[in-house]
Amino acid sequence: MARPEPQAAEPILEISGLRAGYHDLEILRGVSLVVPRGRVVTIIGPNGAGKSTLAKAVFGLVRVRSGEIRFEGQSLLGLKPSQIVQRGLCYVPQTQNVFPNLTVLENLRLGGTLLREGVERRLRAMYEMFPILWERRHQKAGFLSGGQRQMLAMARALMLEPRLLLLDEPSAGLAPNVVDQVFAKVVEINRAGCAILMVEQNARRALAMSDWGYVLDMGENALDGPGPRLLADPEVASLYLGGLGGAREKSRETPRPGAGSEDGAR
Amino acid sequence: MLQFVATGVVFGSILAVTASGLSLVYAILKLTNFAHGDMVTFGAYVALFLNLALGLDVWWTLPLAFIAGALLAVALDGLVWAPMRRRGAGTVAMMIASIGVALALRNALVFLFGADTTRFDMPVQPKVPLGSLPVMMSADDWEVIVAAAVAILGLHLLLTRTAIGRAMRALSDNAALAWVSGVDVDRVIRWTWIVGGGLAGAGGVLYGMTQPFNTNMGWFLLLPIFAAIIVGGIGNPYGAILGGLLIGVAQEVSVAVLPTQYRLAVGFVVMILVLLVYPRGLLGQRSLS
Repeated sequence: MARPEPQAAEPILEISGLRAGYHDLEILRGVSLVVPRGRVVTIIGPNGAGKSTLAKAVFGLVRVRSGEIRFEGQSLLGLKPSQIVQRGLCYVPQTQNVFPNLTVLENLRLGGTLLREGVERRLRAMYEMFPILWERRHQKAGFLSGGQRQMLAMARALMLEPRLLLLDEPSAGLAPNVVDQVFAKVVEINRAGCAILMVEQNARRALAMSDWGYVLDMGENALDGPGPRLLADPEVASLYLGGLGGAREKSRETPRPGAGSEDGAR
Repeated sequence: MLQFVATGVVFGSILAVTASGLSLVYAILKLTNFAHGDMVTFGAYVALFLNLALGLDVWWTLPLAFIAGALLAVALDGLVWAPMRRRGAGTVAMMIASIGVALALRNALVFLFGADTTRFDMPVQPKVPLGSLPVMMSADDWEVIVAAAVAILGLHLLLTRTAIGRAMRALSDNAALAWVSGVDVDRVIRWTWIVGGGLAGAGGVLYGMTQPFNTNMGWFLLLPIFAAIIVGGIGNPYGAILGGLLIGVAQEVSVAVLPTQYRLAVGFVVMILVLLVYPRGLLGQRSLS
């Protein structure tokens, strides 16, 4: 397994030989990856590769059969989701990532449930970073636009000041100009010192801004390398980027095993 | 006619208290709890014991019945519901199990207190006219309405003003997201049972203050309670309050024109009429996403 850059920072998240799935269906069949502290790492791969399942497995929402997940050197296996976020890594799911019947402010306060103090300070920081949330703070989240909802979902996850933010397809279903805004925020969050692990369908955009990229296929590691280099790799281009636009639209309509299953998460 | 409306409001406030508790449990646990009615009966019998055996004034039994109902609910969760959740039981299995819990609870009460109809030992109060209206209400009627209003106001403040209430609403909105937001779900579930069971217990006392009762009271109360929840929009405690008042008034007013045996059916006719216009109930969730 190649390591990100020789001079890379120490790893903040290490996943090794991870096997996980739903019921009888094994989605992840031995995935390994490393996120160095403060860096941006992206996971790409075709539908059904297990990208979203990987994210859920980290947060204890999918049962892990074997393998190891370590955050800052300590295993996350067997912990409750609330204990995992307490460690300093937060999660923005792909869909249903806000509480629609709670106001924007209540969503943010809920994200800060585990804060013992400094809730007001975090709220101010979030409003500063996402001014639209200040304008909409007393509106129910269900009435926000797709882009605003994504901003709220990120802000909710950032309330705890995580050192690693896990984003599951932050650009899914958003208009192109909104996608730009979301990616700009991701860069901004990273500049503030938070490592990012991103699962993305929008592979070109995501790889271009990533320190390291992993290609996942059939629940296994296929390739990895620095983001821009993967982007330039002819093999990656032909297998995973070429014609992605068309293939992606088509496959959106068919249910993906596991990856979109909300039942599995409950 | 107005007299029937007044009686309906009294009965409706009792329905509102009991139905909002059941609706809260459904919203957060997705459990259709058929044992809720018998938790109401349990509250009434706890009060009966305190009232008859210890000579406590019925009003003082109200908070004690709340606590007893809450303790019973938390105990049942530990004994039945939590183990079922851990093993991934489906909603239908949980619902059927709740019928079993209901029967066990009722028969335990029959064993302890007997199946005879009974009543609290409380002074009979004269019905006095309400202003110049052709409505007669006793002081107890008013007190039941006030107690119900206080309970409902308390529930409202809990849901909107406290962190645990916010977490309850979040869990009802999206359980998986609540987990990964750091909500301690076990703690929220415990509080849900405390509030839901407490309201059931207190509701039982209020019911017993308005009429004689026996160990079947909760089972028969469960039908209008379900009708109230469905009218209001299942999983929305505010809808359950509105539905409770509506069903309560409709049932009592129907007595003016129909034989009293049809009371229960009238509640369901109202429910069906409402559902024809509002398929998700009066305050039911419209799909937001």
